[in-house]
Amino acid sequence: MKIQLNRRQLLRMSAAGAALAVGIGALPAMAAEAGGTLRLSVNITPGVLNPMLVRAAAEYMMAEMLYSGLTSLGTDMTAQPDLATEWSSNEDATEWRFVLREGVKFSNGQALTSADVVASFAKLLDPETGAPGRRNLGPIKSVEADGDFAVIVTTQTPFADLPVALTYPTAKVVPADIIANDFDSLAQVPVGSGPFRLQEFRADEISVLVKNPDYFVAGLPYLDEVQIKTFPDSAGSSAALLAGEIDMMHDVQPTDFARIDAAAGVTGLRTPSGRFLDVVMDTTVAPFDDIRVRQALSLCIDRQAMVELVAEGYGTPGNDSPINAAYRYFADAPLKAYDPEKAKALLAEAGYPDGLELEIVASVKPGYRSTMAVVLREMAKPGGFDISVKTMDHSTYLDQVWKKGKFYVGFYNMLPTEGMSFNLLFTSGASWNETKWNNAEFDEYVRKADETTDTAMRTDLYANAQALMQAEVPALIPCFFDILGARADYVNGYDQHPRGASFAFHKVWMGPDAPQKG
Amino acid sequence: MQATLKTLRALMRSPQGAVGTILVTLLLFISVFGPMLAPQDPESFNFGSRFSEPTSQFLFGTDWFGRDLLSRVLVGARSTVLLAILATIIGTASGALIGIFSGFVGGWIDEVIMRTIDAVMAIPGLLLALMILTVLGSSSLNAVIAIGIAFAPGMSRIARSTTLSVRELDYVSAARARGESSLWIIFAEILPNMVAPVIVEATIRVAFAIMTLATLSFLGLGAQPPSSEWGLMIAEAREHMFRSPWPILVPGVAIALVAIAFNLLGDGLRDVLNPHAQE
Repeated sequence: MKIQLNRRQLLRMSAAGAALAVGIGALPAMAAEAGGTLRLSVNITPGVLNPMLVRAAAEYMMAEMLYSGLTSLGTDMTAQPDLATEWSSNEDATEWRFVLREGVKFSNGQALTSADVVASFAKLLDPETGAPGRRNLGPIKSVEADGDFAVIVTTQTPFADLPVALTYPTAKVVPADIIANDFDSLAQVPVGSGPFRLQEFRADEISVLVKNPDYFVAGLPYLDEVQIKTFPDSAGSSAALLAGEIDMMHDVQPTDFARIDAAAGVTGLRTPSGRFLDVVMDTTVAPFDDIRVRQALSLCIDRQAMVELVAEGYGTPGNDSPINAAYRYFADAPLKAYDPEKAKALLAEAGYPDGLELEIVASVKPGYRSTMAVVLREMAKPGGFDISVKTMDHSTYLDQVWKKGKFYVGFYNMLPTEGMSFNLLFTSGASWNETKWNNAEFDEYVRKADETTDTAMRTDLYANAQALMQAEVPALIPCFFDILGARADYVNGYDQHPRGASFAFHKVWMGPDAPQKG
Repeated sequence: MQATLKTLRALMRSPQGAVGTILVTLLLFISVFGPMLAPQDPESFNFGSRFSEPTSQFLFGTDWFGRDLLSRVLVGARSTVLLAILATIIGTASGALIGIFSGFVGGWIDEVIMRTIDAVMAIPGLLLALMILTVLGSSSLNAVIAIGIAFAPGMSRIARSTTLSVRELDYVSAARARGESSLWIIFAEILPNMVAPVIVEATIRVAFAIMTLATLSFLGLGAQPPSSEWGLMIAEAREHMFRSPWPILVPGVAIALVAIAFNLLGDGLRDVLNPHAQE
């Protein structure tokens, strides 16, 4: 308990935390060395190569290595230079000018200019492309070239978070002529300006990426090669790390973290984050169209126990809003109490005096989805809910249930800002509007907060938005997860990102005792 | 009745038959009365006692939610053992009927049926079950049906070959000469005389069915959590293997015991029912 408080306080001072991280990063006296191969395990195979259509961590990882965007996301959730070296806006934050790096080349040899940036954003913003982050880039009205190496982005409404919004993993720049002539070819043949190039791609097995010798940051990347291996089974992945067959695990299950962290030669990586599991309820169909049913279910969760049982203590309790202490505008509120008696009364009021039978769907990846479903079933029993659990293969789940089902366990990474989280999942126009909550008051809070740069006003607006979600419960968000990973001791320069979707492998280097060196 | 008693007595004389019979009887007892014997609710959490080792309160220890493993195994016996037996009965009955019919009728109908069976047999049983489950959707009952269907071809071949040898015997010819109907000949003359090898085969198949059922649940296609089906218990416990061995050990030993019990019983039955084996 005490530890959690300390961590929260540390989190709130995110700026201080970032400064600390930079300080630690600068500490080792060893200079970064070039060369070597990093062998990395992921638990869900990358399936989509087209950078504008990626939707899962391993795919984000590949897109980030193969392509570049205008800005990239720092571990402190600020925008950092990528293709754009500097940017500025007019006073009311509706017109932004991004200055592009000169001399950047795509992997096919073409030079990258403002025309490619303009074409890429036109494609990203075209609803027909179906880019998952379309709504997350902000209220962009137009992107225009200003000479060969600058672009002007205008927004419909003031949008202070634009440089951060443009770090969305799908917002990558690809050549204009490929967009015009052969966009679908990006599904097989990547053409980007990222730090690595694709050498081999075998879905469900391995992706091999090699160093891009023309990368626009001199001296980077350090690594000659990165192998991304898919281990569908997390036990197999940790065994491989401990046996020295891989150098790094992108994802460690909470159940396994203590053991891996304690092993010799391996360091556990843990970062508090806004990553969460939620229980999605379609609020347009019975019984979830009745707010009392959702509130009753929300009263059936012992949130502290949920953190213990589902996240094995590596997490923080949630209050049915996707914002926690890892975010800037988190509005702290007392944790909702576990009160099955009151839940029962609410259910009776909603017309279910004899209880309610439900079926919840949980994908098998990651494993704690079904754990949460089982825990929810058990916790909700005294409240009059009889919830049966149906587990499902992950690809079947993505295909048949995600965004379509009426009651299932969702899993989301932290987003750079509050607004992006709300606009991705909970506003009426959200890209992934799973709950179909469509609350006008909530939309209004989020819209206003998006438009203002006034910190005090934003604090108020986001607090209202969080309170509204807590009261109306479009989804249950009982538990946030720390990001857990592991690396061999000789892997240097990796800063685990709380967002869970940025990786910066171009800054990773292998120490002298790495087996794959040279 | 007398024949059954005689078989049983002979069975108890052989060591494997005796052990198998006793174990299987015990298992069936647990399967039927398990939920009543369980000291605790198999699904209720004990927050204070996660990963408990065997103690006087939890005889087999507890799992990651603090659920009592003894209770879970006892309750899970029903869904594991009885469903396996059900799957075997479905496979045996349908396979035997197809086999007898095919063998008795003979000619081109026999050819058509047997070549179809051959084609189905070319697909490994687990793969066939997986295919069927993909079509039907995953649930315990569908897993049982899938295993039953996957077992039928093998059973029908055994039934057919026995039928072929029985068909030519004098008492069948006599029945034919009397002008009995085909159905009567199948059920009254052939079936009783070929039931022994089918029973032996079925007994051994129960062990396979348990393992296949556990495999399907392990793959997430059979029972759904928080069911205490043994295969599912193992699949779920795998994640916690390094923190406590008990959640994986207890259902694992249970499955092994059941498989051994039915194999021993099958071996014993084969010796007793097959006169040639005694030589």
